[in-house]
Amino acid sequence: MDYITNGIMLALSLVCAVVLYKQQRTGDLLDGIKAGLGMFMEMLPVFAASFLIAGIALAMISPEQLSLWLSGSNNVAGSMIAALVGAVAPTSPIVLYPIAGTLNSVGTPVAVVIAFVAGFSLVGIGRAIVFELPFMGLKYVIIRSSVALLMPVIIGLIVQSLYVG
Amino acid sequence: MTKFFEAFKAAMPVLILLAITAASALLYTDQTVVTEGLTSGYEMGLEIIPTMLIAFIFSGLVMKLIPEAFLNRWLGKDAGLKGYLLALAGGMITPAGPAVIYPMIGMMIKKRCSVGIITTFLSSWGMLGLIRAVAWGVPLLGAKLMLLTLLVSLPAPLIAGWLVNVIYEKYGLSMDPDPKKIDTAIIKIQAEEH
Repeated sequence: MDYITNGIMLALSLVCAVVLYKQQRTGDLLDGIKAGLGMFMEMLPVFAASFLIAGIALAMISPEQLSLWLSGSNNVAGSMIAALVGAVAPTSPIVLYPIAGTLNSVGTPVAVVIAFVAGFSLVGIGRAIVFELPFMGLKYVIIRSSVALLMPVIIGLIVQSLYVG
Repeated sequence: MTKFFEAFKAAMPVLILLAITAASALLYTDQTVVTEGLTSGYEMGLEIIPTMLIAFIFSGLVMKLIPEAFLNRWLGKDAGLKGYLLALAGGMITPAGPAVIYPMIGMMIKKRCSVGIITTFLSSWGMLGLIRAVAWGVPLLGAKLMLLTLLVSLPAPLIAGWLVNVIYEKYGLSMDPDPKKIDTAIIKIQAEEH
């Protein structure tokens, strides 16, 4: 469990609760807690399923496989593949940044590396399935992901043209 | 009972997706991958769900503290460019992870914040998050490359938010799965105001 985040969030919640209490809005205070709990319960089944999906997807595709796929590619076509792989990679930046670092250090074109980074940070379909699908629905995930999917390649190519060693 | 049924209905697309993922894992790999995946998914859930519970309660309280008029003015449908710029800056400096961010977004959707502004915020938080860039990008890609990437991708969240907004408006889409619920809520609010 992430004790630091939890501690900070608890402290912030407490501050909000105290402010509401001081403003003599006990009704709003209870309503707020109720709204939060209600939404949590509503979302719980969806989240439980999403985590299991992410787990299976992650077990199917290992980070080693990802870097193997990307290290040989070049420029435009390579950037497109890298953006797509980054976009559908089922894991978190903690795993993906080191992969980008490895790619960069073995001499993969800058456009490919950056398209990969932008793919997972801007499009992030793994994150979209776990977190966006429950809140915003399938329609939103499809629209946002397709809109974002065009950008990593463009970003990668612009960065490469501006980057000097 | 109806509540349970509703939650189950809402979970249906994800449950179908879970079945497809598990089936394709069984088809293309073997059973150990599926059990391994289910275990790690379960552990991930145990790790994140307590944080989400706290974050949901926090969001519920924050939404009570922020006046509705303020939300509408800065993050609502008519907020315009200032809303998008606020979302861009907010995404860059927000240090929290998804378990904290998405409960807040959930509440923002309930309060009818603009879909474009929410998209800009999410994209900015994902692509331009400064803490992540400093903690991961700089050591692994080098400061020069990371800074250049951040600068080049600065407009991307704005473009993404604007495009999503245009699509939603053009096709009259709504983010709430049940627009009827929102309409009754608005009527109730209007009745309370009068």
